[in-house]
Amino acid sequence: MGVSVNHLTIRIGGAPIVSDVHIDVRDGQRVGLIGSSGSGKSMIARAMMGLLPVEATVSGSIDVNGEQIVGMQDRDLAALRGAAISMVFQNPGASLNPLLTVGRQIALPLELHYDLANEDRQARVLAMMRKVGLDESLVGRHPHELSGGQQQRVGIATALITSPRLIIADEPTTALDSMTQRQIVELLVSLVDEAGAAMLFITHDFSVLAHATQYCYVLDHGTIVEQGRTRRVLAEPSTPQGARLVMAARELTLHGVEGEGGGTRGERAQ
Amino acid sequence: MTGALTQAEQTDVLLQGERVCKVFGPARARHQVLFDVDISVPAGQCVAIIGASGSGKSTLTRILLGLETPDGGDVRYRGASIEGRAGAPQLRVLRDESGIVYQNPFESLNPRWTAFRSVAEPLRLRDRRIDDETCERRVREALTLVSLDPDEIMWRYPMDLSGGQAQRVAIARAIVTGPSVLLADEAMSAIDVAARVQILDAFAAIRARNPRMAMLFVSHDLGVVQHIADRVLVLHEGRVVERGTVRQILETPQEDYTKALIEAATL
Amino acid sequence: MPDSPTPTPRVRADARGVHGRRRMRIVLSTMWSHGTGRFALIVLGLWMLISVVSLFWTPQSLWKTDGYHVWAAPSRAHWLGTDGTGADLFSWLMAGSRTNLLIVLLTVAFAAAFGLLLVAMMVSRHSALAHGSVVAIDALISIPTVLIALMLAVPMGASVAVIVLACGFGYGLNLARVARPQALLAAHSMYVESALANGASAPRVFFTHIVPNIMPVLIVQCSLSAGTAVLAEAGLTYLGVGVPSGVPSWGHSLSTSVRFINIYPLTVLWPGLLVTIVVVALNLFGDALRDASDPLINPRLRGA
Repeated sequence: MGVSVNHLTIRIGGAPIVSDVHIDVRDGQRVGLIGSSGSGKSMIARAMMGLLPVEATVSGSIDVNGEQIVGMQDRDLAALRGAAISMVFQNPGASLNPLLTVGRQIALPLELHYDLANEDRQARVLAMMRKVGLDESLVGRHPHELSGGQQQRVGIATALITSPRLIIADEPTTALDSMTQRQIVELLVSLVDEAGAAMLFITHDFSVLAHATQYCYVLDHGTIVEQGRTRRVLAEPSTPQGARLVMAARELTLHGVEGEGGGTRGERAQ
Repeated sequence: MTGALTQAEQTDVLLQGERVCKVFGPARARHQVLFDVDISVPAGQCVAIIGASGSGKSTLTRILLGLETPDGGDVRYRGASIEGRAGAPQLRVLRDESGIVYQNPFESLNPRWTAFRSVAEPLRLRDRRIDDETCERRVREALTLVSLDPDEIMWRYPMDLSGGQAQRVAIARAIVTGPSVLLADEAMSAIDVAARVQILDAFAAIRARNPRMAMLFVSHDLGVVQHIADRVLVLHEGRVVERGTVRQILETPQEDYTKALIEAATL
Repeated sequence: MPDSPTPTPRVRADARGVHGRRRMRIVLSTMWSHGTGRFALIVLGLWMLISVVSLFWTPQSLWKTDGYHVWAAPSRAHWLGTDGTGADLFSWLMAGSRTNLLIVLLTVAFAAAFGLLLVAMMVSRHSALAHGSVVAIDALISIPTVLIALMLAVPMGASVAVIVLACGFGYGLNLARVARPQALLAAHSMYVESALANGASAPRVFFTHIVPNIMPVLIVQCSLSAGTAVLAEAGLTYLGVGVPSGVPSWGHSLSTSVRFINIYPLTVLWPGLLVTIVVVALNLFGDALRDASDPLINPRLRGA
């Protein structure tokens, strides 16, 4: 079970954006996919949801819980999306429908995939809101009345309410401030573990990855250049691309402040 | 209060906000975002204003640079107020001697302008008769200072630049006139982590070149701030909860809020 | 340190910003390389050429009427036949093309100037002016162009000026309303704030930052206006408030023959076909010009 990506190649207009990528995420596993912008990580996420732009050509296989995503009909994909696979998006302000209240937003996947009585659905929505740390009084609010962190909690609640087996989190913390980032990562990790689901966590920031995942893949220019246990990659990256990302993360956290002192940057620049 | 300015620094204060207040919204739904904030930015120093989103840090800096008017308190540049009708001449001086770097370069650079035209704009606005040669020379200097190759970058449009490159073009625009005050408003948060290091390097190079320049650095991330700031001001819900040197804040934080910020920036 | 990858073609070293003639050449050759753009360029080029030639030469004199050969079928002497006075239809259409060209150019120029003025008011930082102009435009836009033309014709009589003023006014309002969202987006952008903070004046910001960013909308609206102006000329001339009788225009040729469409359909067909082809070409021209002249869409303008 889980998801297994093999020989995935995605082309748009000739040039491959992703080439020959292998990724395995087993049930109960939290896996990271890290790379700088333009490395193709969002394309892989979209391919898993069957949401690639029409002009893209895909080869290889994406196996989600035994079902082949590549080449699947849109109708069958729609049945999977939001039920077996869910996505948490980067910008919660843009990915929530501004006209829907929090309650309606979270209930949407339930309405699409399950035939529930109104009271039952409402009860599940409220239970989900408590789980993600949203006060029940927010149920009638609209997205613009919430803070960025609250909006992302709504996004997470919407993604998790159908108990999907796979959650794809595409840069879920990038648009948030550092304190909220940490809270959202911890929330995602605890909810995914509690449900025993699998998570693919996409980011450009190793310091986020360190808290969110056990295993990770480093993506550069559309190919996987390095993979391994997150701790190991973070401690001793074996490729220059990995090292660059790790170094940036080390430099931009308070990890080494006592040892290195605050003046290192100024000297380096000169 | 800890971290008070020394005597020498006090006489060297370039930009100063005193009991700055700001209220948003109509009378019925008033929402105060700043409560009596005091801040001093001495020449040659980098003051970081740090806090979560909604703490009022962007509003504070916009008021300090005269982009918004406070509802209470005063802002002084080189000792003279920039507020009100009487402050208009001094506000012009401040505008002339300051530069701003915004959060997202793809929103702060005109998408239909080349990098050259964007960087040259402040030069052309200050001196209408500047000749093309001087203009190009100074644009090249500014781009080189932020570690961009002018020949490679100058004639490109923002959409053909990476986030890190585009932000450095925006920085070049902010410093091309040699400002006395530079504001960086969340200049790193929209940029890839790997490219953030380049942005930090660019700021360090600029400060090394222009040691008297004062800098205001707005961020939510102490991990970024540690490398660039001399002083830190922690803002929480519109109030200053703690201030001091970087070392004081990082090593001996007093407030729980500051401790939470440090915790969030720890790997 | 290597930079993050950019998915772009490298800029040529000599691409010192693409300006002036070089820019014009690139725009034209890009348009030419697409079928629809080429069609539009050929039709509009022929239109201009014929307009100029008609000033000096037409196959037959416009005023040579022949009572014995009215409504004649196409022949060697009269390529498209003759009209109800026995005058040569082809010559009249040729001569009419210069009137229509003049009307289209003046209307578009007036509409663009008036529209840009309105856009400038709507994005003004004086909120009273901005709000007032939005309300005024919404009110004025509800007046039909034909009604304005009829009212203008009372003091002015039938004339080209009536068409230009009425259409230019109406299309200017339309243009302003369609361009407003784009203009607001640019006006509230950080690059405009940066320019203002650097001491740029409002007119300078408008012409250097806002206008280039609404150019795509502007081009399409202008080409749409140009096409509609051709149609409006025909309609208003038929109503008797457009081009005065005796002045050649496509609308004139149409209105003199349209009453006999049941008996002599060909004399209506030719000017009708001409108007249709030109209107289609104008609209295609706008789309092609927008795509070719926008550096965000045409990579050749970015030096690729």
